[in-house]
Amino acid sequence: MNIHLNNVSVVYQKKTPFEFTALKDISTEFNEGKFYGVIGHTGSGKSTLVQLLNGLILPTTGEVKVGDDTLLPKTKQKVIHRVKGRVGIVFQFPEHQLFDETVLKDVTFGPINMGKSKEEAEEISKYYLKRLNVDESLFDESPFDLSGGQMRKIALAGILAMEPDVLILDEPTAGLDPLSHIETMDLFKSIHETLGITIILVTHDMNDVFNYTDEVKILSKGTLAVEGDTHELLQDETLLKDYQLEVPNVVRLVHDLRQKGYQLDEMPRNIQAFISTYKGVFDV
Amino acid sequence: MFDSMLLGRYIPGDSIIHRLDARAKLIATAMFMVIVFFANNLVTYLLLIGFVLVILKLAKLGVMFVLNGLKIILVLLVFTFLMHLFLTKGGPVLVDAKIFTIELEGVIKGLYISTRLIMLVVITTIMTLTTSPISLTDALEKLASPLKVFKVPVHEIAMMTSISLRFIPTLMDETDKIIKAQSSRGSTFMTGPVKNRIKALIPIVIPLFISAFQRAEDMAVAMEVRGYKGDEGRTHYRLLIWHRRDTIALIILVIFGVLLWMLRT
Repeated sequence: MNIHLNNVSVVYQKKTPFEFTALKDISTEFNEGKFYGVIGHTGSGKSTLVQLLNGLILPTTGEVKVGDDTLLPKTKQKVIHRVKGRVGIVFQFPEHQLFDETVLKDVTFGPINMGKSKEEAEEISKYYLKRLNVDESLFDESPFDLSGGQMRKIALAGILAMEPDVLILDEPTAGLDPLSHIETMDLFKSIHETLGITIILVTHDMNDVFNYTDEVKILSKGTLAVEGDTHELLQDETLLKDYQLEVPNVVRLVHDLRQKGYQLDEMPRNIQAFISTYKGVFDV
Repeated sequence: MFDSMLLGRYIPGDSIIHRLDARAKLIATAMFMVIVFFANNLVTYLLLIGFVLVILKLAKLGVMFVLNGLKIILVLLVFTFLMHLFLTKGGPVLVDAKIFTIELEGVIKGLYISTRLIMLVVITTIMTLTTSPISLTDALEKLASPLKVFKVPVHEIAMMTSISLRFIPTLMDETDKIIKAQSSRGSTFMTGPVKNRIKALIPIVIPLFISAFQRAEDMAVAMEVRGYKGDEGRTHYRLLIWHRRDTIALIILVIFGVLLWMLRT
């Protein structure tokens, strides 16, 4: 399922002293099966953009096409509801959305809302919980008795159980320790690869963007500044500097070493890959 | 979702009303609340509306902007109006539908009482819109400090008030976030039968309570580690200064009150 945005603008609190244009005339697309990164400085309109994609915010002008459905300034709830089932959002700190008595009940909330029977919903939920390595013994526990990391997994399972075609991740690793950070991101990668879900990652972490995404969209002051191949764009240090973005660690490392005269042809995606690629190049 | 909600909000600005001492505004609001009840005929109600419009103008706030922000009390307003419309009798009968009658007195009373309510809410909203919560609670504490003699915990009450005010926008944001998260999961509390809508509130209220309790705990710890122990020996960083304009403002209000008193029937 592809998503198209045609000349979309979003204005908040129109006709008040707080009036604020969050997005200005954006046209772009998100194609099936890709891993996208959406980056930009704070206040660039990233979260507004992703909320447009599942109908949480409707465009003030322009249209958002999600598969066969079109979201317009006055789209009916029924259509929006359908779109929500196809585009799932994992918000920052998703564990704050847990509410039900047991883990399993909480995860079934989404699928049941989308019209699945209780049995079906439980079956799907169990599948995704297991997929995220949540032990079966925890299914009947209260989600509030679990650790922060496990709560986050359960919240994530709650979104995956809706079986969306597109998964939006808003700063999914905020507040995680370094090890859980890598685990979580690898998990998304394997979900992307095995289930074929399109993933849109919104983050400040340029290392993750460089490591995991295929394509990247850079937002600046509510407009789409640049979009294109991640590997290409994020090696361009002047471009990143223009949009107040950090250079990924591995890119900086390779650039610095090249400047020192080392012959490094390949640009690895992360530091681990750098180590295995260039093992033996440096005499220590 | 709560974009236009104004109750309890503060908009920094630079107007004569913004610059008035918070104590003056607090006293004036209390006085105005009494004065509102003086009005009981067309002239006095018009004067009242005119007075509030002038204050809005002085505070550089748009009329439509303020009214829009008060949609939330609309239910109360409509309810009050309807009660008077159907239950107050007197004057010529306007509508006679056997089971009920609408009489002129009812329409007039309904309009008057609704205006009264709007004026009360608008004036208190102007106060909160133009006064920062901190100076407001400082003023409250100052004005109520004589009560300390009677062992009333004035400082603690003021502190609690300022914390509550401080957390209104935070909790609003939080509510907004949770609503978004749950409606992304297909929760439909805005549409459908009432029973379903009420049920759909549970997934919103529970996370909200949990986060509110967590915040309260964090806040208590943060205050304790900074050595907070109540009023004892506490000095103020911001001092409230009473200017001549504050006295003048109160005098104007007294004159207005007297005028209204004389014009009432």
